[in-house]
Amino acid sequence: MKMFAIKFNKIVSVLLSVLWVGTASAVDKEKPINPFDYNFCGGERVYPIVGVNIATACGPRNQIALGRRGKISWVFPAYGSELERSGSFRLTDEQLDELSLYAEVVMVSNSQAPDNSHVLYKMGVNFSARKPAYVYSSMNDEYTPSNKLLHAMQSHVPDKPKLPECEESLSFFDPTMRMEDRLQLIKSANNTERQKLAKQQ
Amino acid sequence: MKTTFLKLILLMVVVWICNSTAYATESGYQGLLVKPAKSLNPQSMVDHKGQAINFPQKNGNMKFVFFGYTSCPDVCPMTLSRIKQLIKKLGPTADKLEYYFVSIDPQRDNTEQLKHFVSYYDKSITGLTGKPRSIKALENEFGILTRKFQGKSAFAYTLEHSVFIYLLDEQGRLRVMYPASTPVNAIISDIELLRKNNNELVLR
Repeated sequence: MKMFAIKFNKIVSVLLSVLWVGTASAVDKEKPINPFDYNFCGGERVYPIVGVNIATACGPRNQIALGRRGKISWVFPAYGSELERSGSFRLTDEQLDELSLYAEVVMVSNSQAPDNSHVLYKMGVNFSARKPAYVYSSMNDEYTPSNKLLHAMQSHVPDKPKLPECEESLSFFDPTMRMEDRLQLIKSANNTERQKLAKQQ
Repeated sequence: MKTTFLKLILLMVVVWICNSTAYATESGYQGLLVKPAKSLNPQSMVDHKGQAINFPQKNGNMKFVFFGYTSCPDVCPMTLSRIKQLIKKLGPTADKLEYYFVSIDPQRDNTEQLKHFVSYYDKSITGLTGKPRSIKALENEFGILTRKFQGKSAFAYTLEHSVFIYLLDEQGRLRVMYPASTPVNAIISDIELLRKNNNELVLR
């Protein structure tokens, strides 16, 4: 009788704990409690998507991206004697929380137009269920929400983007264009300038 | 000797952790600076006394704004307690600022409930509600996401929402954002910096 009671107690305790774990996970799925879980999907946390193209007028198109599941990826194409650099890995939750905060500010802020700068970038930020934000700006050390986010993302990437100095440049250019297309534009812009000068003389 | 050295190391680690969690940016502000400052389109709202108000107003006062709802179980009471701490710590200068709690739940939060809820924390906090369309428009101005989790009955639901405290400058523009867990001292130092920077702009 005593043995039966012990066995019965064991069975009941196991059943209760299984039941408790079941209800707990059901509650967790129903109502996330972390303040960042407003981007919560399929039982797993998701993060804003951030995509950036960075380039100088004559240099390759460097790309850094943050994926919805928290992976950072980068591709810095080959340039001159330097080989292509690329990779991806998942950031820690703390690093992702920090980047999410910076992305929130980019979402709210109005984009600052690029100045006549050496390095330009285009950035897109997309939180689920919200209107995406786009930024076209100059990369420098001045504080802007998008510069802050870009520098924070870059600090997690072990490689450096290829941003060569350019002898001939355009005032404004599109960093999402391929390098060959941008070089073609520089060439044609210079030709137009030469033709204009020739006409004036 | 060894113990003193270990204590020193421990102190350095604590100081480093405290500094790294204060969300310091190169902007000089402890919070997240919105640059350029964002002008917000005022919306027709109703305060907890039932008076119509165009919010945010450009009345020369800085404003703290927080979004939530009165049946919010965790984050809203925590944030309002922080605002209460802030008001207490600011002392007499607290009167020169305004504090707003905007309800994202017009279905359940009426002016009476809002009045009861905000005055529990501090009498200087103003509760705001309004028509669903106006609230939605205000949420969009601040870039806030709200999501509804429906319970078993029509009124049994919870709302997920962005949890930032927003600081508006004297011109009613959005200037700084704070995660709800930001220390009160960090917010106070930002208020002083914002005042100083605004005065410099006026003098120029």
